[in-house]
Amino acid sequence: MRTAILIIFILSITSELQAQSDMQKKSILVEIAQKDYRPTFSAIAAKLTTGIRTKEALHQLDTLLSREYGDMFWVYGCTGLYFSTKAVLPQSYKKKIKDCWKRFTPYRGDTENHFLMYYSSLYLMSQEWPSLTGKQWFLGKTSKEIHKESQEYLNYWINKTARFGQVEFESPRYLYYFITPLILLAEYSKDTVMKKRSEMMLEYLLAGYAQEYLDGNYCGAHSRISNEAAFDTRSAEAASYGEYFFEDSVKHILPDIAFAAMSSFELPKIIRNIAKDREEPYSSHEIKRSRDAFRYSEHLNFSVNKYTFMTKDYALGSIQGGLVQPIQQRSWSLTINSSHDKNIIFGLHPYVSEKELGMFFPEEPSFMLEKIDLVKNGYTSENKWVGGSPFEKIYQYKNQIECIYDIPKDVKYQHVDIFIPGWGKFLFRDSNFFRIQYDSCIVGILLKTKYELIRENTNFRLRLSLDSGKTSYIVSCNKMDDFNDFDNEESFRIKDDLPIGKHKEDWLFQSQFIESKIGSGILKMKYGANERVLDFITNTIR
Amino acid sequence: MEVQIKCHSELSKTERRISDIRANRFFEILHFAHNDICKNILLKRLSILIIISFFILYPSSLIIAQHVRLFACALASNDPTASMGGSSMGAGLWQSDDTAKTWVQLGWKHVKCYSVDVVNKSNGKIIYQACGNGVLRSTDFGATWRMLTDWRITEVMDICIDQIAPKNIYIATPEAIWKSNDGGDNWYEADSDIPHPIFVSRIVVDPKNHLKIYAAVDTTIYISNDGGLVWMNSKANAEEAHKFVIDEIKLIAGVDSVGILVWKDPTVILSVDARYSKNPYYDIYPLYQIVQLQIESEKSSHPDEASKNIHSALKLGKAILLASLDGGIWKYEYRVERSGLDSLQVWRLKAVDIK
Repeated sequence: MRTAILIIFILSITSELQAQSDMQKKSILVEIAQKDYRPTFSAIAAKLTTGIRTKEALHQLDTLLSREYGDMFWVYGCTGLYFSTKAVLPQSYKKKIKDCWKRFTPYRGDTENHFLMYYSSLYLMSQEWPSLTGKQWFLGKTSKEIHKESQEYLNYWINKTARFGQVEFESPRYLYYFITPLILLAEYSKDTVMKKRSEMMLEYLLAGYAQEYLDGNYCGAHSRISNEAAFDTRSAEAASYGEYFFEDSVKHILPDIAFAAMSSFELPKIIRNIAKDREEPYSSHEIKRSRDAFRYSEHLNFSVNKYTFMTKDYALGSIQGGLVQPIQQRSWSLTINSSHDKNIIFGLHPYVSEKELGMFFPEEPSFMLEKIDLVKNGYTSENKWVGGSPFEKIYQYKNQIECIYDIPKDVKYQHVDIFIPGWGKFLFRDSNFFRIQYDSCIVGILLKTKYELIRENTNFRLRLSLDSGKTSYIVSCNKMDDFNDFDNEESFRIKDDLPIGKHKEDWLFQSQFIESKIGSGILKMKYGANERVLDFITNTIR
Repeated sequence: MEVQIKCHSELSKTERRISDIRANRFFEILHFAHNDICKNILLKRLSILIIISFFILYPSSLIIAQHVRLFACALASNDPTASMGGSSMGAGLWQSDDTAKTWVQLGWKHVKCYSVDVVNKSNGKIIYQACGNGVLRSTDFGATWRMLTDWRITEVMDICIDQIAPKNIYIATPEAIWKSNDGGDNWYEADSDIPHPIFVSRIVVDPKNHLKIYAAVDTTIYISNDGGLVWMNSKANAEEAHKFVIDEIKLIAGVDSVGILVWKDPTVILSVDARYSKNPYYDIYPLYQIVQLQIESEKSSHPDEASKNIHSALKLGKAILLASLDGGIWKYEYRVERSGLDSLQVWRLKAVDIK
């Protein structure tokens, strides 16, 4: 009887956390250690920690420490390895690493994820070597100066994000590069406040991810998405963490998961429930921030309104349109929850302009346009599948979305494309309307101008031409058994499914699962009768 | 004159090189005196004594030869994957002491370097770099560097030292103008009366009036007459103004695609047609025309190498040096030829007189 009570007591304590068991963590580490990744610090750390292929690991580490090349990606990996293998790393390698941080001159980068990687690493390393002089650091600053500056940036970023939203929001690629440095900070920071705030930021980002998560898919609009993940987010980097935190097993293992598996951070169960429970459809309203626009903009940055309608079969999500991020923006998408690959329908105007590049990057706009395809493959293509456009406006109400385009004559590409996965069954098609079945979902597409349906391998490109520079389309998705025709478009542009008395501009998060008033610094998660509150003012979790 | 005495082994690599150059010059002069002026042994011995006494009695600066030190600021390597937000080997500050024949890299190996300035009085010892990561300073000819700025300052597009009061330093960034009054240890934003957002690409201290500052933003040029306290809009609404580059010596705004804009008086900017072959203010062809010449002359032999992305230019004797974003330095003197750093995107060139 006593034992039973004890077990119930322990369960009641631990039930708040979604524990990855030690066994699971160990098996993930072993798998990473055994895989043949290209040399990365996290995979090397897995090898050294598990004792698998250690000779090879040290050889790879020599390579990574011998080349005088480094940027924020090198910096956070090196930091992670140093701290996670501290107990087993030979002293000579610790010395080598210290020497690298004196000689190497890593580039800081220019985006939000870059800065987080850079300053979280400097924070931890200056904590580790607290008394170094300026001559012993590549920066020429003392440990104290570096630690203070890093702490200042990290607190600035946490305060700004918790109150006014993330800049590189909901990125299937870059979320990976937010989660990893935060895991390192939460695990290895000696300062209890920084440790707590890092844990809270992890929960903040993972909660946001959870409510856009649908069986491995990262749904809705994205600040940045790669060409590869554009058709299927289950292949993106963030999906690795998605499986690690929200699922029972990890199939898509990327090496940085090793750092998570070596940490004590455990996801609160409430976030896992948010990620998994799709019994009832729900809407979520969120506010994010645009990337700083250096040129051609009246404002340095502005608010981005994000909206997602989630069901267990599909998710439709969007932002308001316009340019909020360069090159890799995804303004809207409809994800079908299916075992088929390429399960996303989305559309865009393929905007290509030196103005877009000049807006977000300081280098010469015309030169960047010449060079861009070498770095971001396909940017200048009329057939590209990622990117935003200043000539796009988007309105969404639940399962329907309307995209309106007004494209000046002198703009390079005078068409709009919609990606149609080829595995759907065409139920109806005429001069301006499509009805396509994907598993148990019926997708309707109503087109306002002439179109061409172009087969591309096994999929389709629906290309709309312009009429006096304009076109628009409405996409809706329904379960087969509750199909409705399109709503009256005039009314749905002004429709809003927020609770009465609530206005979307007031809410950083507003859904049945997450609530946060803009500027408050307090985020409340709700699931059934359970609540969890992240209070960034008092740095507490309630 | 304050003279710091160090033995040769105590000097940094750069200092040693300078010291060696000075020593070579000294012996060249002696050799010349010995062989060509004096004809008999007595006179030779006497001349040597006189020359040695002369060097002992006069300040050492008089015997130091003067030469031009060139700096090139490289943003990135010209590798296909190197552009925008990334780091690449070779990016950073480069120096040449032999009129762009050979180049050595100073300091950070892969930081985007947009601009450089040197405290003139320091004779090349105190150098400031404007970089993607912030502002770097060296006080030992580039042997060691300190990052002066913090997380608030990024993508520093230009830097200019007030040479009359060299503790006063101005920087241009894509979001603001910043100033330091203590040699770069502390910075404050010095653009409160300019409407934001502003993209500041160049900043120049007027060499004739050190309180007069010019700042090129994406729509116009702002002028301050009081060291950055109050700014006036020059209302130079040139198209493509975001591409302004200002020659720090002659205050001439050059635009890489439309020619050169010449600063005629404090309130008017004159646009010069790209076809205009010579102008009284600047004894070179407009950049655009040089580019055209260059393309024509290079087309037959190096069709892929002809650079059309000249971003900075300076006069070096009769030659003109051009910094190209397409790759490297080009020298223009009767014909166009490469002059090093071929694999780098070079944003700026700067010449400094070294005594």
